[in-house]
Amino acid sequence: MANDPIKQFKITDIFTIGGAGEGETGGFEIAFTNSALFMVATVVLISAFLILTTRGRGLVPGRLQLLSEMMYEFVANMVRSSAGTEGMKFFPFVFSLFMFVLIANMLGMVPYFFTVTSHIIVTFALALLVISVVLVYGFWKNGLGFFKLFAPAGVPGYLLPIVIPIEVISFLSRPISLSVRLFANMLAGHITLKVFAGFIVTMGSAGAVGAFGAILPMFMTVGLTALEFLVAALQAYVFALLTSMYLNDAIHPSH
Amino acid sequence: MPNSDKNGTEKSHSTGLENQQPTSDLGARISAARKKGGFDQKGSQTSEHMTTHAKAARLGTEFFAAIIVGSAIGYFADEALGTTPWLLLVMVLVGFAAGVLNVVRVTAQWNADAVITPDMDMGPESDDEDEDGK
Repeated sequence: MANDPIKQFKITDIFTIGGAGEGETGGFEIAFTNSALFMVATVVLISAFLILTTRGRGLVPGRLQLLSEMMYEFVANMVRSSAGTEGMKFFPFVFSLFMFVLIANMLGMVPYFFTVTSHIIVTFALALLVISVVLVYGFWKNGLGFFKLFAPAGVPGYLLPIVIPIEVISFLSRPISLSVRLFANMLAGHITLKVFAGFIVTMGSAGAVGAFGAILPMFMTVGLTALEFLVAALQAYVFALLTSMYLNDAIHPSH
Repeated sequence: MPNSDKNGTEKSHSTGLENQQPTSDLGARISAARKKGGFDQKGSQTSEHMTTHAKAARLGTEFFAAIIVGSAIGYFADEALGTTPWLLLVMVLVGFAAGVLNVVRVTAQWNADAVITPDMDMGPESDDEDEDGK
């Protein structure tokens, strides 16, 4: 079925390395999938855009250089306001995450393109990366003082056995909520778009009345497309914002 | 080579700016233009960038992620210790509490960030009359 709304998320192998048999990668099959292709495309697009637009290094920037600088400033302001100037050492990390999610979401809006962030394993890997950085940096910088994150100041001692498990679960839920939010938004949005676009075809093939009625889902699809562009940008922003807020916890563990 | 470079840039400077205003008041001109174009209204508050849709999605996932984590911990601890189903029951409740904590924390953050303007409806005032006129 051409308008099966789930089919757009199907992973297909483009080529594989290794597989069955002996040899250097014997037994392991490393598949280069359409998902991997679009991840590579995302990274290449970002690198090419940033390198080419800032190559001139004009003191008075041109339009494209200004666009790059605006992206820098947008993320830099976000990191500064939520993690302080100390958080700026994580700026390359947050900026890479923001640009990757943003461009991957935007590429997904192109018809027939694959949406990398609509698979939970991709977003969960990104969220695990964030939480690993928070844990490693938090323990490296604060030592055991990082555990103060789980025992808020001013809580009486007899409440700690209740408060600490709740705080620990609250902390552990962060990578889940971070990844589920991005994945669910992209998945639901693309399915809705495909379903409403499918209505146009189905109704259009049902005679003159149906073709007239198909105008309604047509308007809906146009509106949803605009909404999806908003969601794509917004979710990239939310992902980067929460990353810098979690990094703030690693830098200053006491609430 | 460096000399000729310097001359080159200097020349382009003098030719480019001959009939331009001096740059000493550039800052004032930019801020005037920004004000005229309405660019100065952008809020630095994070919550202003987020639409209601994004806020709702955030609250929902924050709440349900904590329950998922709590249940998973309880389930696997039960499997390991053979205490089915007691730890699962306890950890679902703890996860529920953690979910409420997440939601409260997020909303408290939004409330702290919110800019209150006089035309906002912040609920009835203490001297507001009740609907039945008492």
